[in-house]
Amino acid sequence: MKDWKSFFGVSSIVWILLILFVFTEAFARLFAVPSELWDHIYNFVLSDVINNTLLLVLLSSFLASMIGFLAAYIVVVYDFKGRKIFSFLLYLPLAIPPYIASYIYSHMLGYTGILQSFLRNQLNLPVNPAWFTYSSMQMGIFVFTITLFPYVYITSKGYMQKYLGNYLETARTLQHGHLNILRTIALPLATPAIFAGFTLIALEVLSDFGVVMYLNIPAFSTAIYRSWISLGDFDSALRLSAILMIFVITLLLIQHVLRKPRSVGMPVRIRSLTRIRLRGIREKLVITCFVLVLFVSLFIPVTQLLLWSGVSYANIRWSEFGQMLTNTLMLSTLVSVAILLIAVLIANYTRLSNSWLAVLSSKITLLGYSIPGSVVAMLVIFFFIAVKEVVYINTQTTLTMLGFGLILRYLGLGYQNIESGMRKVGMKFNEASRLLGKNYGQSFIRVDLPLLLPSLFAGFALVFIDVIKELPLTLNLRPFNYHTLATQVYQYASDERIVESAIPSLVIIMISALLLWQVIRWIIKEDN
Amino acid sequence: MYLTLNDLTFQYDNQQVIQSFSCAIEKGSITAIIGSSGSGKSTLLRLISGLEKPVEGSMTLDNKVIFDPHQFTEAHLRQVGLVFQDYALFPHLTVRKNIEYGVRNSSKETKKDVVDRLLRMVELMEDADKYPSQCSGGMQQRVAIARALANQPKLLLLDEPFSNLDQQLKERMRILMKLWFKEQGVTVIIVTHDHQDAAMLADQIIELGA
Repeated sequence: MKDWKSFFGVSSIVWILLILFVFTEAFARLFAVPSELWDHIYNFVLSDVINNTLLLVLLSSFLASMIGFLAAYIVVVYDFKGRKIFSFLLYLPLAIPPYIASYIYSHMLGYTGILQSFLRNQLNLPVNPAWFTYSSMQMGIFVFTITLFPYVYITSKGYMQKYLGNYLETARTLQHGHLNILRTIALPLATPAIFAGFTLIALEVLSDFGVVMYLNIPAFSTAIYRSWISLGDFDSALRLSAILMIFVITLLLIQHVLRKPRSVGMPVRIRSLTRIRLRGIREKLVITCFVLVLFVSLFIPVTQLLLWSGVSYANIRWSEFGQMLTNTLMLSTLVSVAILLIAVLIANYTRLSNSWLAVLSSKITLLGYSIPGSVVAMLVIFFFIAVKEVVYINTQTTLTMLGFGLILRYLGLGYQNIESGMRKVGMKFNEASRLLGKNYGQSFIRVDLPLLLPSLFAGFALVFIDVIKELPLTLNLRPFNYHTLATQVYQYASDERIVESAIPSLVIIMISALLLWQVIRWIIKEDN
Repeated sequence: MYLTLNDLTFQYDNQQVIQSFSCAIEKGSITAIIGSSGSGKSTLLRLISGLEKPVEGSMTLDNKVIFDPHQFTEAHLRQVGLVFQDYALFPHLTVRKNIEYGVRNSSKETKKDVVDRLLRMVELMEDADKYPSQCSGGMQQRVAIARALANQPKLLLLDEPFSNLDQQLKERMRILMKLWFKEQGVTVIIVTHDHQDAAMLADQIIELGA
């Protein structure tokens, strides 16, 4: 076993050193003399960027958390017609990338959009376009809220189902009303789970590129992109990235403090909850709310894309589309498989070794996932330039560079799933197998691996979904003339050819939904 | 002596769990190690099986040194079987496949013969195609013992084998186990906190932490 431990240890440390080198090399540049442009950014741009980003992150995360938590509470505590199907469908808005939702809603609400046209032409109503005006910020908050609330829905639903049965039933026997139980028991006890989801939403919003670029919201992603690509000022873009990282680290620290898994004092025996049957007006109200949420977050975007697909179908160049689809699937598959392999190595090392190095490896692995894509893209370019000083390599953007950047960015996501799977499986089956004459490697392949399959698939699927819709890294690191479905959707939207973006958008959503559906089945099985 | 432990010491997180433990065990005997919770009984089994490495001392099994300051035989090379307290049956394999997993490299026919013999011995022939989750606690324990015996261990270790069984089943299993182990001529160490288990099953009793 010592040999295996050394093998996993060395492989993990090589990878970790690589990650550390990427980060330190780039951050060392922060101490260089700032460019002239930085003064301008600092005096005239930065405060707007910070204010907008904070407003966008806080309001979107708060509203999405509210919807996610309330939806989870209702499906966990109450029984009503269609509860099972609603509890399943509420996961699905995650399959819709926020930037696609922003293209759809912006276009729909416009003067030539389906809503105003319908009211004006079909119903002959005197429509005032001013009724449909909105600020970019409002639209941004709206699309993030409707597409990202499932994060809190997932975290709080799983938590309440597992741990709150005892407390909620005790509160009921003490004659507390529904709202009082929600306010005084469920909400405070589920706070760590809600905040875990809140953090995920906030990280998604902080790292978003497509929505803020399309809606032209001056946020960190747009400022970094413009300093770097439009103005060619790497150093200023790096400084902005460093400030953005301060927000990310602060958020992670707050989550770490709020998480405190033992502060609640979990029940020794977990009792499953008997749901309260809703009837009459209450049942109708709950169903109406769920229908409304799903209508806005799922039905409208998908229907609109289907309608547009019908219009744009004839204009699609199918050979180009086929090439883009192949690029997307190949890239997502290769990156997801590479991530699983690296994650399995590191997870095995942390499982076998209790050393501080193993703990550090685990923490550093998770780091990339909290760093926005545009920042990772910059770090990767700095890294390749630094390497070029030692050995000759091509520093043009290449598929290797893109693949490396995507692995760096999403390794944490794959690792988290595999590590939690390994924690659940534990060492006992491996030990039992070793005592039956198999070495660690044989035991891992024959016993642990089959038991880890759900976690491996979940890790693969979640990474795949993220890579398939990824924008900033792909846009910045892809080779010349290399297109994926996501970059093509972005291109169409930037050219104001939204209708033509419908088919690639639908394909992204369909692939994501299919993979998500499988992952949700496992989540539901596990929650139950 | 078949198994000798000399001044075995083990610490975990700077805490001494076992200190200078010595004992000698004869071939074919059943030894019970008793002691209160936290006395290090299960840790001792993990040390003998090779799942943990002692800090000091030495161990010999069947005239071979399996641990001393210069060498450490890995768990999978010791031929020591361990039946865990929660049995650790592989959940994705049937009863038959679990037992077959323990059979050393041999032909398909030989494997089948060994598994059939063990299934008959533990009276589980009719449940061979069930998965562990479909088996009762008593059945699971019998599968775990059969799987350990399939590996033809030089030494079989059992960690609190009766803790998950009701009184009636416990009494029946004590009788059956003694019968099986004597029939197979296997050397056994049982860890328990129950003096009655020890008295009924064991040829010698060692009290840990006494």
